[in-house]
Amino acid sequence: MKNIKLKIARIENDISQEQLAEQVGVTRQTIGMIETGKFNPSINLCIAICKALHKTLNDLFWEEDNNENKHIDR
Amino acid sequence: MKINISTDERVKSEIQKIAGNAYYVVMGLLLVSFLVEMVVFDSFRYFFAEWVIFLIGCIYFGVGCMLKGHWDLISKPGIKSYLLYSVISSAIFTTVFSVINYLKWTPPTGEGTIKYFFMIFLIMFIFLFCLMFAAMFISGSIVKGRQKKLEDQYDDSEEN
Repeated sequence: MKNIKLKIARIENDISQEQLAEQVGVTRQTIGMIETGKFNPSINLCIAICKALHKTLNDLFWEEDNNENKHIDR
Repeated sequence: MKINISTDERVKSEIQKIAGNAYYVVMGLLLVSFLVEMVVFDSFRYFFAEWVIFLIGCIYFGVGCMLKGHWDLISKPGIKSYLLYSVISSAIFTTVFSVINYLKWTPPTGEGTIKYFFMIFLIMFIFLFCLMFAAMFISGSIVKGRQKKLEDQYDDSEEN
């Protein structure tokens, strides 16, 4: 599943994949693969990305489930 | 701007996966080469070095899994799995070993030849089964002990 939230947050912060990769200590390919959903990062890498983009884990990596929303609404 | 590749978890995990697959390929090919060499050569000394390398690889893998408390992906250590694995491995090894030796052997003519060969096959199977079962039992006990130790080490029930 594509991680659009990560891509949007990165663009909002006006940084390239390469810059983000450098900040969190991975290769540019890894950031690209996380954004396209080809690689599931560890929780440590998720936290590093969140810190670099000034976001929370929920903002970038939490997928809202329709059933869950219905449950919360009730 | 240079990235230290060694810190990239994706790269590390992909390299480890490839190395793991390469290990299985090498071990599989070594096993096939033993079978061929057992038919072609008369003496064990021709492939002794490869056999030692193969054994070291197996021991490293086995001991590594035992120390981390891993058995396998489809079963748990117990009498049922010890019996199953012992029977399967003994049957495969005895069959392959017997067939290869039968092909190289010039049997004396007579009615008792097949019976004699079958007896050797059976004795070898029983011996290997006992050996395998003992090895499985010991390694299974170590694995269970390690699993228990890891559970106790990271148990949070006392904290709550």
